[in-house]
Amino acid sequence: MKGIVFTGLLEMVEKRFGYVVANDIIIKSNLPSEGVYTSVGTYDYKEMQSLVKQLSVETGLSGNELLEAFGTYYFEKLAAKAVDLFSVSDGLFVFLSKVETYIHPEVLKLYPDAQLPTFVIEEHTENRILMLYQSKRRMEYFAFGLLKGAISYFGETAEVSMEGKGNGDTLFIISKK
Amino acid sequence: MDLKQQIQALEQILERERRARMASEQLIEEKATELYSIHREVIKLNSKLEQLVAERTEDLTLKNEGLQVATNRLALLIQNLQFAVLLEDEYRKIVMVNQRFCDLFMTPVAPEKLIGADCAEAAEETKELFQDSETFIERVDRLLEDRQPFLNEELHLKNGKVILRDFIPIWSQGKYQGHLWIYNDVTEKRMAELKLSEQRQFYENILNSIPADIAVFNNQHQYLFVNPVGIKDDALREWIIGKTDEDYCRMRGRDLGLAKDRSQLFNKVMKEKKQVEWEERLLNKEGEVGYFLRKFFPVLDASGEVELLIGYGVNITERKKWEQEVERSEKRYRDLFDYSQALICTHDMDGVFINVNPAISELMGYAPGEMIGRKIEEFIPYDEKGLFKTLYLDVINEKGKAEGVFRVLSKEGKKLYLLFKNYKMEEYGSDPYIIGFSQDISEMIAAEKELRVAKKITEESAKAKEVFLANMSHEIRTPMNGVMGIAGLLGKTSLDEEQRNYLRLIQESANNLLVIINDVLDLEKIIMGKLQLENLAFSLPERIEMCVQSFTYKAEEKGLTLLYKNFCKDEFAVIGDPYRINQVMNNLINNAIKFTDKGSVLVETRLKERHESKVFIEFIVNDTGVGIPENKQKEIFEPFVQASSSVSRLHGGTGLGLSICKDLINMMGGELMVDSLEGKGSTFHFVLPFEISSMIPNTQKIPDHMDYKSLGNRKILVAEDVELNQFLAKHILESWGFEVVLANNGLEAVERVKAENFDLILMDIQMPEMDGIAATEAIRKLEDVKKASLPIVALTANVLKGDSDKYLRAGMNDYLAKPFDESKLFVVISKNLQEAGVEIQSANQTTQKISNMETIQKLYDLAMVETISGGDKAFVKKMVQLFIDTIPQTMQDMEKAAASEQWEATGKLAHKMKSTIDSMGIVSLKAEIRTLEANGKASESVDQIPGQVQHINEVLGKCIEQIKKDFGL
Repeated sequence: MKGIVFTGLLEMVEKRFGYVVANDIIIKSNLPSEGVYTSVGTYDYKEMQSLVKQLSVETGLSGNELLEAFGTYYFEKLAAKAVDLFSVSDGLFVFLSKVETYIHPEVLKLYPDAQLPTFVIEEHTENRILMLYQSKRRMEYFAFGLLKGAISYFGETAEVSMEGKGNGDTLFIISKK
Repeated sequence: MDLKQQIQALEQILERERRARMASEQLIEEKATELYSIHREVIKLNSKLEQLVAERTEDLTLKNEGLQVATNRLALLIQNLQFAVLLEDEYRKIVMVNQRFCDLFMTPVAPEKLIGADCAEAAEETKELFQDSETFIERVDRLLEDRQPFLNEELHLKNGKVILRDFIPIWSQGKYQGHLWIYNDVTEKRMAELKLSEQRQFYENILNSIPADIAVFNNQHQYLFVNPVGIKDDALREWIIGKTDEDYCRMRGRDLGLAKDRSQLFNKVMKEKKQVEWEERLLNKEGEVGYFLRKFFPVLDASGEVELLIGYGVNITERKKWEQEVERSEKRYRDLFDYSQALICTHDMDGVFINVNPAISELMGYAPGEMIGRKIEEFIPYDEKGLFKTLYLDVINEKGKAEGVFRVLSKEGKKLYLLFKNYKMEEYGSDPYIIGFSQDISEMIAAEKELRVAKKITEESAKAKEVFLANMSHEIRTPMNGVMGIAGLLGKTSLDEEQRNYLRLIQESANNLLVIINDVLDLEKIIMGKLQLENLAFSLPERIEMCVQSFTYKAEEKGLTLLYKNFCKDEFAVIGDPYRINQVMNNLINNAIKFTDKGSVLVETRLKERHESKVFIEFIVNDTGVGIPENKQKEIFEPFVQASSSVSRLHGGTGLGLSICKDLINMMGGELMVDSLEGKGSTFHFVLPFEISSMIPNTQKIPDHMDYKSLGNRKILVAEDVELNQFLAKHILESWGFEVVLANNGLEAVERVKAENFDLILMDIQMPEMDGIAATEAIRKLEDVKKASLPIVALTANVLKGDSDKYLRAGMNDYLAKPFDESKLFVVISKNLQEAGVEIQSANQTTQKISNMETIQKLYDLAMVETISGGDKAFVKKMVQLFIDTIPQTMQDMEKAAASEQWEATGKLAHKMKSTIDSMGIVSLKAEIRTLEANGKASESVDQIPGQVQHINEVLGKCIEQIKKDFGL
């Protein structure tokens, strides 16, 4: 997992819960990397699970809630970094349909070692998109948060809901109002 | 949270940030190095690219120069067109032409050489290439004149090519500039089209000739195609395209129900995209019912939607009829099976019932169906279950059928017998099974059992009858022996005329009584099928002659002429039963004399047919007597019937004679016939077949006159319990000069043999204490070889069949039936003495007359050698010499072998000697050499072997002496 995700998480933790909490979860998680993350480095995704689990202990919030919140928070950061790949003018649905076919391939050019989930468009109508999320790392709530972040980023009135399909496969339904 | 903690957290964060920065810097450094090398690579590639661009630019610049470039391009384009192109100016001079044009019209010149050529001239030459060459020029002139574009004009070349021609006039600013000809070779395309249409026709033909309705529908259920089987009428078939079944029904005025049914099925296929199959019942114009098997198949397009629907229908009216017929037939068989009184079942190859008809269930006491699925073995009695597989299942499996009787148990345990005949049925595609038919024969078996008991009773009573007859025969013969013997002795005393007459009457009566007893016994034997014929070689004329001669006295007495005429000129011996022929002829001649008061009795034998190895001889006995009324001629052959009741009063007799003759003749292969005129006489005649014998018969005729003294002084033991018979035998034998010792029973006989030396024993069979058979066996076991091999002749009144075998088996040499006469006794005794090697002095007065007396007195008989020689005396002499030269060596070898107890070797030498003894006719050793051979071979009774060898050598020594004497060697 790219370091940017870790630095993003810690940034959010610092902002929301204070640097002491951020420091605490790093120390308590007893990480192989010792919490030394650079955004361009690559780290074991299990460290993310450890951090979220520890944060959940510290905050009393569930891991899924935390991942969702992190996803929403993190989308803004991604958008700021990826100005070459998409822009607000694209609109939400165009962006979503580009994720798997364009954005991810481009990301892989930049970070050949990045491990990306797949977002297959199952259905694409004027008002609705069905995306099937598949990842070994089972970060569906993170993805859920990202999608929420995306909706707010594009300033569109849309709703996203999720349906577990087993084995961590998750179907996201994004509907415009 | 205190400050210290906060500071510590901050310090920790700071430390991490520092380390993260260092890690980032390292990554940046690595990336920078990477970037640098990529930059270098890009610069290199860029310069290479620039060079290539420069080269290309230069190239292009050169090519773009001048108008020529465009022209070249155009020319190139035209040259590469798929069409043949010819551009002419307004004067019909060629401006441009391509290679394809040259190829098409077979112009031998390159296209650029044609530029400027005059097409008007060329057309005259070119026209010959076209099929309609005459109109070609006209057509071209017309186009040139009209100056209107004319496209796709089809032209046919003589070489078969098809060309589409475009004529395009070119106008520029209102001025005619020339015209363009474009030729497109569409031959291949046309061929392909033709092929496609042929193929289409081919498939249509197939569709049309399939003996089934075939229709194709679009997804609106409208007909796209129907084959002629579906709709025969051509017009209707064309009409229906685009129509629906409903349209069709309306048009034909048919019930719409059919169309609706089909429509429902159609919709089903459209929905489910699967084929459906159904049977349709239709009435034709004549109102007959027809059945169709129909199917709808969907044809799906690429997206999986139904594009077309194929309807398929076969007329199954015939099949339906068959099915109904089969059903009816099956019902009939089922009824037959169910209602038949015959027992019918089927079972599989393991013997499990598949089906059992009610007749079986009922018989066996089971409910219908109760036996089905059960093993047949369950119904078989316990002790026979084991046989079921081997004796039935395996047999039927291998042979395909089996029959026999099953013993089965009914439900109540009653034993039933079923006579069955079962067959294995094998049909292709199904397992073999057995169909069984049976019949309850339990009652028959019970009846048969009763019959068997009855038969046993009958057999037992028949046996009792036989025993009674044997006893009766014995009881009568024994006193008869005395009567006849004493009468014979009485005849030797001096009697006056009256006494002699009485004696004759006694003898005649006794003889008649004997004939009656013999007739009764014979008839019994014939009835019981126990009479067996002999197969002996004998001379037929001699036999008949003898028989006729014996009646000479009787005929003379009545003043009748008795004549025998033999018409068989050929000399041959026949094989048959001389005794039975004698019996028949005696009977017939006796009758003829009996029923004839004056005139003659004529006996004839005639050769009817002669084949290579077979002759047919006719026997005729003709008399001039009373004759037989025509209505009695058949009856006289029945037993106990005579021509008239007065006959028995006048002539006596049992009435069995002719019946026995007829039966005997039948047994010998002939038929006794009679021709008779009442008061004129009778002729009895029959024809018998005989095998011709290759051997000269060794006739055993009893000589008329015998020299009873010729046997010399012999010592004979007579074992006999009846005093009269003792006296008779003693008297006869002593009159021959013999010494006679008497024994009253078998035990005494054995004792006497042990104590004294005899030449021969006459042994009665039925005696008290020990019978003749036991006594013989005891004597044969005696240690003294000479005594053990004494000739023993049975004297018996038991003459039923099988008895003689019994005597010979017991070790007796011969037998004589009581009552016997002197001459018969003499022949038997002399024969057995001679066979035992006793020398017999020759009597001059008999040797001349009776050839067989010679045999009796001779140690050897060269008859066989003489036969083989065919009259060559030198050959006979050579054979005899050979015998004298070789046999002493064999004798010596055999003696040595026996002395050293080499029994097997002895047996082998005996075997070697056997054929010599036979061919030299040394009859007395015939039996003994065989016994020796057998004993030696099996190493049995070895204690007797040395004695046997010694005896054989003694006899052979005598033979050699005799032969030397006879042949003067």
